[in-house]
Formats: sequence, structure tokens, C-alpha cells
Amino acid sequence: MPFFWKLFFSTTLISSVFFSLGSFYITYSGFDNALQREIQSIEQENDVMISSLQRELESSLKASAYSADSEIVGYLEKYGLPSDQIAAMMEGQFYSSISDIDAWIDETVGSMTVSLYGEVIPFRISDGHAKIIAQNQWINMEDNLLTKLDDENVRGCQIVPYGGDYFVHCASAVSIFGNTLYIENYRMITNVFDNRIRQQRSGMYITAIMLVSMAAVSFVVSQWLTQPIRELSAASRQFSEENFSERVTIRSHDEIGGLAADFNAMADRVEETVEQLRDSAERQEAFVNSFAHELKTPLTSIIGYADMLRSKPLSPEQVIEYSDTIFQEGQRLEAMSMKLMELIVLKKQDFEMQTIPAKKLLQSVETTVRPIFKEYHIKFYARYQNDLLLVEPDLIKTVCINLLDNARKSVAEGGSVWLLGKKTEERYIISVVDNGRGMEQDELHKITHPFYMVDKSRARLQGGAGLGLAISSEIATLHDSALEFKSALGKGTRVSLRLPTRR
Amino acid sequence: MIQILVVEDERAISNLIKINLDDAGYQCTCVYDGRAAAELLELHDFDLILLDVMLPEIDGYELMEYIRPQAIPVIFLTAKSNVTDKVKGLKLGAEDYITKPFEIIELLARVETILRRCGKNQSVIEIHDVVIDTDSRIVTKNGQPVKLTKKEYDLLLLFVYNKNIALFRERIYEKVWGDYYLDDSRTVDLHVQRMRKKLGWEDKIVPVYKIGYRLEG
Repeated sequence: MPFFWKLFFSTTLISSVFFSLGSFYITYSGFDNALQREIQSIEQENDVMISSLQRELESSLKASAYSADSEIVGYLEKYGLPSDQIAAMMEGQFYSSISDIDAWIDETVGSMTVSLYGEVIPFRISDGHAKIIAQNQWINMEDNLLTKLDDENVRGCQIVPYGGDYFVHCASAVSIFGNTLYIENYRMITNVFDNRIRQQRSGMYITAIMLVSMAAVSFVVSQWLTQPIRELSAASRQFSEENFSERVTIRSHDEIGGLAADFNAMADRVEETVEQLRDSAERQEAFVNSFAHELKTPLTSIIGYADMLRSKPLSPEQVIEYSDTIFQEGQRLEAMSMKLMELIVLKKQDFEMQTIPAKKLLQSVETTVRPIFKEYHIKFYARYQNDLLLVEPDLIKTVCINLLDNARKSVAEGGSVWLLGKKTEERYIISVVDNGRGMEQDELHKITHPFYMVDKSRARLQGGAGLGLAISSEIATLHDSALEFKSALGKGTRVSLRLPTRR
Repeated sequence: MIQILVVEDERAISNLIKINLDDAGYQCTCVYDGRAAAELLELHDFDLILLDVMLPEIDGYELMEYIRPQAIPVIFLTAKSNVTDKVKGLKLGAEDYITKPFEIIELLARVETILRRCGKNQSVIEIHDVVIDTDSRIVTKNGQPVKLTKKEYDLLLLFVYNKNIALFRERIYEKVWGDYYLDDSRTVDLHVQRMRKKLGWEDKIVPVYKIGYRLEG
């Protein structure tokens, strides 16, 4: 399941569950309160009932007692007895005078109505033997409330559904003159239940609306939250399809924004590394191709001429000519393999740098090459300042001789070549300058590639394998430097090398 | 006479090809770079071009564009042995390719095959007193038909196309039987001797000590 849907469903689900729980709680607590209120008021009504009944009975009692013994009371009052003492005294007499208490109560309250706040309260009074003594507007709901009352629970309330309505039924057991009377009353509370249903229904509607709007909101929010993740994922897919230039836009400064930034940083690094690997693979392939070509060219001659020697009748001159070709091509192969060895060794080996005066080093170079320039009738000038170099002397000598040899090959007879050594603040610069043929600008970055030759056929004639500058460049790299070329076609070339010093 | 243009910048290889093609009876012209080849193609018509891939100025693949409209068959000479380069050459319209280094017999066989495929070779070869009609595969000596088996006929053609070249038993076996030669096999000798006898060429196809046989021209 996509993260988007997880986010969407979880927010929607959680909010709707909480909302419906909330509305459920509100509905039921409202209902409960209303019910409690109803119960309270019915208990109050019940109290009113009881007190009215007692009052009624008392007044009836007083009336009859007074009428029967008014003379005695009057007499007693005359003697200054308090009226309540007189009443107590009279009560005993009254009891004795009333033989059938039930009949008396019936007579007294049979026609009683009780109203509270202008509303008539339905009631029923019955005795312990389920005999109804008095009732008013009573609906018999036939519940079992009376059976639940005993000495401890003298009052009980019960909600009774009856005839499509709801009633709260309240009953109290009251002891009057030793007789237990049950006083019951009820209230119709259908509206409380109706209210609950209404609230439940509106709660459901609101919950449904909430659900829909929450879904809409959380859809938008989820979209908004997962958008950067989707972008990241799209970018990653692009990456896996080797489209390494893909980046994501950073929209926020939160964790996802951080992830996007990290992704971009990683992408930069990967792109760079892949580029390097590709470059090196390309160089490797170019090297292998060139190497195959350079190896197969002399081999083709050697094999071809040897094949002729072994399978054709040849004149003695032809034999000499063909074997000479084989010999020369063999030498070329040997020279190339030696150079190649050098190049490989340079890449593998650690060289120890030595301190050597520049003058000493360049002097030895000068003495090596001067006779060669003389032989080719090329003017050779050497000008160098002294300094203390920190180099591998043999390697630097190789580079110098190599560069000078290249210069020699590029100038015609009567041309000039310079070997210059100059002190600068940090490094010592050796330059080889010639006024020879020069090169085109777009050749300059290729000339240090192994086997690269600007003019292949001429280089061949001069015995080149196209490895000299590759080796020199490798040596320059070992000295933390690089060959710097400046050249103009027809005007000449300047090659410089910045060497480390020890001062 | 069949005219072949060799475009190869390496003098030694160029000479090698020229010597052998001339000996085989073709007329060979050598140029050493692509530009010279393009210029020469403006002026002359050739039957076949042997073209090196890595050339100065204009490389072999580029030169193919000049050659294609003229419909001259091309054999590439290439030092690269990877398949994509070969495919590239063939896709550009080359008939065949030869990888360096190559043996002379290989070179001659390829040249011969391509010329025959393009219908530029003579279909009737006359050599000494024998006439070979390569179309009908009929061999006659002094007007009389000579019955040769398939292997003997293939042997004869191999000798004819490599006249004056000593053919090693291994190469004969590989070329005619199309299989690797086993040291002790007398098959080559038996077939050569039988073919020689049928043609009465005992003095023309001579044994070369320790090597094999040579047809003298």
C-alpha cells in the first residue's frame, strides 16, 4: 500500500473514529443528564405526593378529631397545654375511634388530585396487598417496580416503555399508622428518548460530513506531504536508468527536505564518480585499441615478410630486403614494449625524491642532447638559473630529453631549440621552446594520450611509438605537476613543467 | 588485368601486399592516406580496394562514403579485432575484412573470393596446358576433359590461386577439408599426388622439403 494511502486512510480513520466517539459521548451524556433530571423531578413529585397525602390525612384527622372531641380539646387548651401535645394525645384516641383505616384513607384521598406548577400529576396509591386505594389519570404499565421495593429500598424509579412512549415510573413505600402504602407516580419522557434519537441522527450526519471533509483535507495534506517523496522516488528511478543528471528541488527544511538535500549531494557524488569511471574506462578502451593497433602493425609486417621468406622462391636481394624489414619492425616492437614497460612501472612504483641542484641536472641533460642537435644542424640554447630541486633526477632527465627530442623533430634544419630553467616563488619552471612546426589548439589535449601521434606517418619514420609524452606526463604527475603546452601552428611550441623545490 | 588499390599508411605492410598481389597477377596501386586515395579514385577506376581503417587525414570509414557511389568492392584491413568494428565496416558496404596480422594465403584467398563474387575474375583460367572453367567446374588438358573429384578440384584451384607459393600441409588441409590438420595425416599427400597424376603435373606441383607443395608457374 503506498505511503500516500496509508497517510490518507490513517488520518481519515483516526479523525472520524475520534469524532464519532466524541459525538456519541455528547449524545449519551446529554441523554443521561436529561434522564437524571427527569428522575429527580419525578422523585420531587413523589415527595410532593407523599407530603400532600400526609397533609390531607392530617387535616382530615384533625377535622374529625376536632369535631369529635372539641370539648376535650377546648378543655385541655384552657389548661394551657401546648396544641401539639393535645394533638398527640388525641391521636391515640383517634386511632381507636377509626376501625377501618383503609376505608378511611380511601375516603380521605379517593378524590384527591395533586397538581404541580399547574400540571396534574398522575398517581396511584395502593396498599401492601396490591389493592388500589386511590388513583388519578393512572395508566397501568404493569411493570414490576413494586416488587423491587423492600425495607431498605423504600423508593425506586424505573423507565418503562409503554404503548410507543417512554415513562419514568416512581414508587415509594410509606408507612402510615402501621400500614404500608405504595405511592406511585409517572412522567412521560418520550421526548428525552426522541431527543436522543435526533441527536444520534444529527451526530451521524455531522460525522458523515466530517468524514467526507476530513477525507478531502487529508487527501490534500497527504498529497502535499508525499509530493517530495514522489519526486525523490522519480529521481531515484531516473538514476537507476543511468540518467545521473537528475536532481530534486528542495521545498522545505524538514526531514524530507533534508533527505532531498542528501539525495542531491549523493547524486552529485555519484555523477562525478560515474563520470570519472566512464572517462577512465574510455581512456582504458582507447589505450587498449591503440595498443592493439600499435602491436599489430609491426607484427603484420613481421609475419607477412616471414611468410614470404618461408614460402616463396626469392632472389638474394629480396631475401635481404624482407629480412631487413622484419628486423626493423622487430626493433620497433622492442622499443615500444620497453616504453610501455616504463609507463606501467611509472604508474605502479613509488619513487624517492632527492634533493639536487637544478644546474647539475640540466647540465647533464645539455651534455646528452647537444651532440644530437649538432648532428641535425639545429641551434640549441640552454639558459637556466640554479635552485634546489626536490625530484627524482633520472625521471626528470628523461622528461627533458624527451621534450627536447620532440622539439628537435618539429624544427627544420637551421631552426632553434631552447632549454630554459627559471626560479619562481614556489617552484622551478623548466621550459623547452622551439620555433618549429607547432600544433593546432585541438591537438594539445590529446598529445599526452598514449599512442597519440600528431603526424603518424612522420612519427613512424622518426621511430616514434606515440608514448613519449604519455610517459613525460606521467612523470610530471608524480612530481605533483603537469605538462603545460603553448603552441601556434607554424610558429613553434613551448612546453613547461613546474617542479617542486627545497629551499 | 585486374586493378587493385591498396590504401595503407604503413609502408612495410603496403609493400607486403603489393608484392604478393603483383606476384598473383594483379596490378596493384598503393596510396598512403585517405586524401590521396579519394583523389586517385576521381581519376581511376579500380576492381577492388584494400582499405586500412586507421588512416591519416581521412579514415577508412569516411573513405567508404566516397567509394560507395562507385560500387567498387572493398576489403577492410583492420588491426582491431573486436566485432563492432567489423560490423561497422560491413554495414558501411565493405565486402569483407582482413584482420592484421594476416597470412599471404589468407589475403590472396579473400581477394580471389571477392573478385569472383563480384564477377570481376576471369571464369576461365589457363595455366600451362590446363584450362579450368570455374563456372562449369570443368577441367581440360590439351582439350581433353580430366575427371577430378571435388577435393581434387578444390586442391587444384588452391594451387592455381597461390602459384609460386609453397603451401604448407596444414594450410592445404585447413583450406580444402575445412578442419584442423593432424600431424600424421597422409590425406593431403595422397590427394595431391592423385590430382597431380591425373593432370600429368608431376613436374609442376613439386614437393617442398618438410613443408608441403608448390605449383611452379
